[in-house]
Amino acid sequence: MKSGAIIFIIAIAVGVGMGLFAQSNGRAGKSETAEKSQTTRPRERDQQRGDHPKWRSGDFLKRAGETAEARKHPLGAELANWTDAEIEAALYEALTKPEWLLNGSPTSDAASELFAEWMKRDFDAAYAWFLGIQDGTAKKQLTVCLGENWPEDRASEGFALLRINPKIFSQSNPARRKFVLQGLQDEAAKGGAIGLAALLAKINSEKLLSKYGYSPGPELPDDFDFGALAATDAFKDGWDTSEIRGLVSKWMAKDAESAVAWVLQTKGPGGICDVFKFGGATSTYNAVGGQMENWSDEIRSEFLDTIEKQVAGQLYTTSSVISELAKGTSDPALADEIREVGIQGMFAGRTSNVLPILDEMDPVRRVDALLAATSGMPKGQQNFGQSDEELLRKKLNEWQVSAEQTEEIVQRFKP
Amino acid sequence: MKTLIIRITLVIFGVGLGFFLVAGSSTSISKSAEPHRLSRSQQKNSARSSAAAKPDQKDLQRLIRTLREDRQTLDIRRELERLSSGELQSGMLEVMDTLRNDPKLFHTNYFLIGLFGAELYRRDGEAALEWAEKQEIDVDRFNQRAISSILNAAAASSPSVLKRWIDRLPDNLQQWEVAQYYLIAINSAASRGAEDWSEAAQIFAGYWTGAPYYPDDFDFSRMLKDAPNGSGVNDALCYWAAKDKEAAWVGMKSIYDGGEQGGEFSLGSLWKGVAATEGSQPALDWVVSHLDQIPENSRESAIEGLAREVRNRPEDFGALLKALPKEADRLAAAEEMLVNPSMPKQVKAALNTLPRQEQMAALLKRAKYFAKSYQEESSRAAINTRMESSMDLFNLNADERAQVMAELSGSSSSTSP
Repeated sequence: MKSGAIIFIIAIAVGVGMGLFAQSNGRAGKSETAEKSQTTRPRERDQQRGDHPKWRSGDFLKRAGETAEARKHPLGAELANWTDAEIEAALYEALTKPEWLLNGSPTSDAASELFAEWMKRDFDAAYAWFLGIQDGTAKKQLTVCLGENWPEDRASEGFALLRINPKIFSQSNPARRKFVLQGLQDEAAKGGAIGLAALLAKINSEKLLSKYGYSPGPELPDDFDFGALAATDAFKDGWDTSEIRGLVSKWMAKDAESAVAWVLQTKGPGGICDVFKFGGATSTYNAVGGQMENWSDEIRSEFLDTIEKQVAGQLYTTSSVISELAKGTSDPALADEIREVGIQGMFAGRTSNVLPILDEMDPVRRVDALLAATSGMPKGQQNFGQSDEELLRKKLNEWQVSAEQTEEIVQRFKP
Repeated sequence: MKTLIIRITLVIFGVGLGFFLVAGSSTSISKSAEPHRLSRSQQKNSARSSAAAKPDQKDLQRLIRTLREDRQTLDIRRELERLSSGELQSGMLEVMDTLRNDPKLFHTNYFLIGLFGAELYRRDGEAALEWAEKQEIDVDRFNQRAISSILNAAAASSPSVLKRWIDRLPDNLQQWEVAQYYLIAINSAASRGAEDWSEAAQIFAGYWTGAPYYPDDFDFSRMLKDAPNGSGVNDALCYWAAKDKEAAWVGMKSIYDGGEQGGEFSLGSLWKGVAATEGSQPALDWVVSHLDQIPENSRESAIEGLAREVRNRPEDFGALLKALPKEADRLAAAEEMLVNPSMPKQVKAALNTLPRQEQMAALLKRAKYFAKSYQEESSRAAINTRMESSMDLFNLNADERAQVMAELSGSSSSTSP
């Protein structure tokens, strides 16, 4: 029996040894398998991918174009399988989250997507739900979504809502401007210039017109009588609003002579710049450029002085204004006079913006203008840096300006 | 024979038992040990991927994950991975060239350039930036250059690399053009955790928006401790208070106890966070009930911070004044409200709840502050006008007006509160 016990103990030891061996083998086997799967998976993927040639930039652009649309609603595909009730439940859940306090949190983004999807499916139900939720940060943020996803064909209802409840969409909510534009459009089609003037006066007193930002102005019937509108007080009183300037811009594009004459007479040359700022479009700039040929030297110089001051202060937009103004005139000398104004932008550190404008100038006049350039900005605000200098030198070389003149020009711009 | 059979049985049984003991026990050890090998975040990720594996799951968390993972660009990212660095570089320049010719397309498809930039940076690190630095310098805007999107990628993962490169950016960039990289850096760091946030906050100070996302285990107390005046701390504190007001209070208190004033608006941030979940009045009561725990020398600045936040909701300001227990507290708060010249009606309504002598004391306090802060002659007229309009709000009589104006000119002999 004693020997039996010894045999049993030895047998256990052998078993333990075998167990350990099996385990180490198992580990090695497992890790090998894991490694294999790690190495083969990408290989398999590559093989699958290898089925098609590598994408070229055109393929990426095409795919990005398709994706760009879908990215406007990044949860659209996923939410397509959700029922309205599931959307509502998730929205209620989102309302309880503290993440609304974080600026642009994924929680509020997801909630906006849910709300947008519901609005698309059943606007009335989604809107009724929205009206029923408590005021607060979440509702404020969902209001932006409400405005952005308001059905296109119901913008007139949006305007009616705004008249009743002007605070529903904040001043910065784009929906506010969209609805006002729709309201003006509806009225112009129905009541013509006089009807539109009456509505403008009313909603201006209700503070529904925008005091800042760009407005393209409402779409108007072909036979719209701008002259009759311009003769009303409503038009003059609303001058400092984006909507009126958008209307003037539209008038300029349609009948530049009358519109520009009206602005010069009522507001002076600075008024033209106001229109550019709040309602400018390429057609407006071209139209004004065309009219400049008829202006007196005094008006032209006052107008260009105003633009010149803006060039230094503004960042990018003024370059396109200058370029399109110059394109609008058929007088090459006037076109170059306009382009010269852009030179101020180089003092502000916007050389890459300005050089394409100068490219279009007469070579002799261009060099003269650069040699005579004087900054209208205080030294401390000038921002012509190393990278501007490199660009300017490169261009002067391209324009075949002499080394001596190049040096003189570059030195003029250094702060 | 019998003995032999017994011995064979013992051998078989013994070997089997030994094998089972080791292999069996080792299986249970590896089972229990396995989770310990994973970090907390890895465990979470594995939980997340198993949740993500359920295609029919419909809940808010899943939607949030989808958004964070930017799944719509997955196939583009995979295709980018297949390109060599050279192909990536030339592809990126081609794509940018096409998009620059169409500003609208540039805007909607900018994300594609970002994906190229991210892949290049992931692969080549700073070498990608060095390559991009040499490309297309004569484009209109900096964000239309290849280097811009690679810097975005660097900002998102390596704040210290970004810091090194900020100094190499063109010298004519505006502050706001540079600030976008700081913002990406600090927000991405926040999404990785408090340690990374702290590191980024030391590098980029002075940007005030809070991050859009903090992981569930984000250590807000560390954030407060490491950089109480750091970027976006007040927004984060507000969020923390909405999630767990008592923990937020303990964190805030440790700042006061350490002798710091606490961020400029911090007590206000606590109120705002609690108000978002419990309502304004309960939040005010809660904050005010903790005031006595704030060291005396920090109390006034803490109340000023609270008042600055509450005055954004002027309709709640009267309730704040009512809730504050001491006259000095009310004066500190009232003075902050008087700073609001653009909202005279709201200021009057809010301060009307104070007794007359406290209104007067608040005006005198403000006048004293103006006298001390604006001593140049050039600002005198503007300050006088500001004080005049504040006095008009409370219909001060000639005698009271004279007292305030004397304080404003620095000629008062009274000891104002």
